[in-house]
Amino acid sequence: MAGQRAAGVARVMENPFYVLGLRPQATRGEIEREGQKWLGMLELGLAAARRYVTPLGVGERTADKVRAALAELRDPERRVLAEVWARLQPVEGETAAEGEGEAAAGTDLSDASTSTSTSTSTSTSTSTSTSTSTSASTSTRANVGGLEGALKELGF
Amino acid sequence: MSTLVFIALALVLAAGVLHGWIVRRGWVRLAMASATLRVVRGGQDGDGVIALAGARALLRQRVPSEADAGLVEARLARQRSPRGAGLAAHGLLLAARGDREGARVLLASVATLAPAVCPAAALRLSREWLIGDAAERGDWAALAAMATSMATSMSSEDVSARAALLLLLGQRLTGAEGAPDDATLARAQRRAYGLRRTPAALVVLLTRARLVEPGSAPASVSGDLPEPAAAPVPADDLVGEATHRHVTLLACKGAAPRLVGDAVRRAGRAWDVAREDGRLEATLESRGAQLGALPGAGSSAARTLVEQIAADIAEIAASGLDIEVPGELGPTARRGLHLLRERTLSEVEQAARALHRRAEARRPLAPLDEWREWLALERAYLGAMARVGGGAAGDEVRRVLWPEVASAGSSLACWLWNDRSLRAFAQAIFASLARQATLVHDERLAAIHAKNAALSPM
Repeated sequence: MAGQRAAGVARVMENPFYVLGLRPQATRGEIEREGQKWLGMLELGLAAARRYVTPLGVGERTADKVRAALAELRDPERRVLAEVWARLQPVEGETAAEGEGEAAAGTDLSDASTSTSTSTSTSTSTSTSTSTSTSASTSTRANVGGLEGALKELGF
Repeated sequence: MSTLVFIALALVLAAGVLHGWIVRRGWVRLAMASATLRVVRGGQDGDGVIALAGARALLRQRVPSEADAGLVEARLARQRSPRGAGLAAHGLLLAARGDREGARVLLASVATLAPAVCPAAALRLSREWLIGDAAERGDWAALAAMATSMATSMSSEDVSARAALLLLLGQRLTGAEGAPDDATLARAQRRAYGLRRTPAALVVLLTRARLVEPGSAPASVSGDLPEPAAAPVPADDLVGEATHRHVTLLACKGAAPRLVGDAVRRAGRAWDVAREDGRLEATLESRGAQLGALPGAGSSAARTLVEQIAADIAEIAASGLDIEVPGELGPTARRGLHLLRERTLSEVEQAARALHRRAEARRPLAPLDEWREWLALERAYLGAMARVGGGAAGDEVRRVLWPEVASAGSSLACWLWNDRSLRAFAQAIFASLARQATLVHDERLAAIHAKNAALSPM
């Protein structure tokens, strides 16, 4: 999505439970162990430790984030809030924030060799919608991107 | 003597014939020189027209040269009282330097200047750049809106056939009312490209457009609500359901206003259910106690949570909101929108008061910055209506903000007109104030500003 990241998005993306890869029911012992595990892996520079999943996409795990997460979860009041925002169990895959509405952007006007029949098949294969019940015309509206080179065509 | 006259005539003729070719080659210095000869032939807004030719040539360069941009800038700096051509040149210069947002604002404002101070070529170039820019960004709704405005205020000669085709394409792709049928699109395509091959990407879009029935949907609809990448929530987990709706809302930042409105309504409703009868507060309090928090910590967390929810709703809705049935909103959504309304009012009032104070204190800015400051206030004022969801709420915001905006605008315009000789800008501000005064039924100010706007800026 366009624009600066909303505070709420940051709250989800940097939720301590997601950073540590834990569910809200985790015990204090589990939290401390997991935190130390990630710190150790990051110290060794293991690539697998550097990413974590959230419902809004993939985040980059750093030692600072892990330490901040541990500190946040040691405070019971802050942990209660963090538990609410970590209620959703993230799954790997295309996320709403990353995928929505951006699929077909950037068609290049300068490419003059494609035929009309190719165009038709392209138009029906780029849907990123995750919900159902849209008509063919609606999903066309949802996925039409920009026309690269339009300014050049107009003499700019 | 006759030789000199002959050379002069030949130069003017060559400038006329070769000007377009020189601009297309991206030769800034030559473009400005040939424009100079055209100005000598009797054009108005001399420095602006020359700078506009240079800026246009600059845009044709693969990597715009900073030295050439400096030439255009130096020419613009000579203008004491910028007019339409100068404004358009500033806009194209910003575009060449990569500041598309800034270019968009300035070029859109060219059309607000009176025809007497805005050469037709400057207006046409501004419109065409905006059309091309919107097409490149895929903002087909903006193109459809431009096409509607063109139908009422412009003739088909005001833009090139290629630009007109993009406008029609925007209308058809958004399924707007009055969108062209297949035959009209085909005619526009023939007019635009004739026997030349239509670029393939455009053919793709035309094919897609034909799949959309004219008038099949409002332009604001642009897809479905995004889904968080998360496992399904159990049916009895009300907080989980509310979090799910809330995360969906967060993913809607910058989406179409109708989509945002739908997400706000659903998230608000889910939180209302989760919070019913103090359930959420009780759950948090009990969880806090389990974790060893002090008594009351859960309730405090619940208050923070409610504030976070309202702040998120306000932040996401700030990019534009369209609520189908405002009466359906529950207390949580209303709280978020109330916060947005308060923030919006405060922002516009502060901007208006700052401008008013500066104008009254006669603290001048550069001419273009004066214009930019007015545009920013006008945009914030007009945007405030959309931010709170339009309709009755928007009308109320318009009425509340009008006195501050009117005072600031009047002070600035009178100062620019009387003391600064920036009459083109002042007249456009008067015209805008007259329109807004009419919308809030302020007949007295509408009459005064309409009278001011009718004065000749020459």
